Amino acid sequence: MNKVYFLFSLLSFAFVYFIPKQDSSFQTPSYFPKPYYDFKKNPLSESKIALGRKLFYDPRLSRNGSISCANCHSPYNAFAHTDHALSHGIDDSIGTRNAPALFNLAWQPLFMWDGAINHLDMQSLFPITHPKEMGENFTHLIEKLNKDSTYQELCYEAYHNRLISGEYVLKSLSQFMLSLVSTNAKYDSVQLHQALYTEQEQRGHELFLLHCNSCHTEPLFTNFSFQNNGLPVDTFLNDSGRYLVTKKSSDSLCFKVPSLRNLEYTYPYMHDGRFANLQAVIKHYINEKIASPTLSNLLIEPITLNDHEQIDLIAFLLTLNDPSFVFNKKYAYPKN
Amino acid sequence: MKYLLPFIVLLIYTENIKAQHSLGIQYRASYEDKKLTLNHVYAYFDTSTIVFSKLRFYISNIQCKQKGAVVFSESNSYHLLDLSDEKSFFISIPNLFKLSFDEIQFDIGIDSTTNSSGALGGDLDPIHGMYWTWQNGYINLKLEGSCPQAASPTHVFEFHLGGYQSPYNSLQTIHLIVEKPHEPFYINFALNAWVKQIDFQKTHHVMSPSATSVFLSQLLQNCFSLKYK
Repeated sequence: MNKVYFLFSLLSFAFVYFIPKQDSSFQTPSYFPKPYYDFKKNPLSESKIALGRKLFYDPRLSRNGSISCANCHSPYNAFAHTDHALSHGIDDSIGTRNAPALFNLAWQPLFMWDGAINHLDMQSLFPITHPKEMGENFTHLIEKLNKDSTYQELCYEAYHNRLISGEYVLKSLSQFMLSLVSTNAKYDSVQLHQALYTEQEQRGHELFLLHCNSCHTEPLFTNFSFQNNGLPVDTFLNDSGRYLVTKKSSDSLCFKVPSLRNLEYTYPYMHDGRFANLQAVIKHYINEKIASPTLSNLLIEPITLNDHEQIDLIAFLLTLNDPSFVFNKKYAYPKN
Repeated sequence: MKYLLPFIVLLIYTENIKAQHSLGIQYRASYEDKKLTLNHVYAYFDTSTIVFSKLRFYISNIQCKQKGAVVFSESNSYHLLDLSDEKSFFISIPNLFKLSFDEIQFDIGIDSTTNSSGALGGDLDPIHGMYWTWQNGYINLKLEGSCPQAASPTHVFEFHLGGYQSPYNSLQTIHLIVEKPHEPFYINFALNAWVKQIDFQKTHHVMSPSATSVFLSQLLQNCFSLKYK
């Protein structure tokens, strides 16, 4: 009988020990759409998120150990790079686009400002290997990680395998990024009838629905489309956006519509970070758009907002800030 | 009696071929009917030379058919063949030759669904250097080397062929008729048939999905053949 009990205990232990702990944190409000990411192919677990979090903050992912993902995606800036118009990389390189904020990525079908990357799992390969970002060879990175006992241990906890593969690294980085969910702004409290807009915010919300919501669609505040929003071409960068991926003339100067959540933390704005503040962004949409064959149909009609309305609109946009996301220790640098 | 030893050696050799044949499909890369060796100098037409330094390509979706009907379809059928690792040219499929079939079909490259499926392991792990990191997608085939005809600074050519989205879908499906199903065979990739169709003056570097990538991939159609051992 003792033997049976012992065997049962052993099996129970093995079951508990070897099944990664399932993370139930991926809960989203009822008014959110279904996520795009296929969790069946990469089910979230605490141990995989932990591995991804360590990787995200580790500068050894770069060629010379100087740059981590968090260098350009800082948690205090909703994982964007505040105050830097263009991303900074290895050896003080300057990129050609603004580092985007990272949150609510489970709903995003395509990645990068031009949609060049078709899956969140494969997104990390771009900055890791780009000569102006982290400049590392992916095969070499996996060799480096396999020499580190801490990573071997974390990999074993996550995948029951000490041998770290490219697949494990990419999926774990995805897991951490998928865990970055921001759904706790004042806007969300209003949706859940737990708060009310001020009169000014309410007026701003009405203006938002009239002028902005077609592309920056609630509740994610983007429809994930690619649009030419009428920015004059920067003749130095000469960036034609989605055209570089599709080679279709209709995609020339089109860039991904970004989410407006956490807007206050993620300045400067636009794909090349040309606008330092929201006033400049609104001014662009009111009277600085450049007409061109690919200008978004939704922006051909002039937008008229007086000074008061502009302030009202900004008051609403600030209800999209989610301080509980930005200062969540769960997403911060892992101290242990 | 003195002929016995050679006979036994021949018998063992033949049995080995049959045994291996029964376990899977052997691929071979050749140049002018000779087994291709990396970094060996080959004649390129009558007046020039060519050297190959790297040949890697994906074979996927292996199927066998009998009178047009699929009798075998390999699951998880993704194989990276790398000439620097001879073992990779043998694809193990136990019991395949217990079936009767008159056609073998396979893809050179990776299909669009797999290209959009996120991080994958094994031969599809991006650590193998067969994945474009700056614009998603697997590289179906890599051929690198040098040829005096190549109008590049050091006469090097690098063909990284791929692309899974229209209009630059480069995946090629090869159909080969099996006339003698019970005789050991291998599948030959005749590099000479391919590179002799390429104008190295104009085309020496292909590194992204493009019309050239599609064109060079289509030329592969005539370079694979089934040969009996």
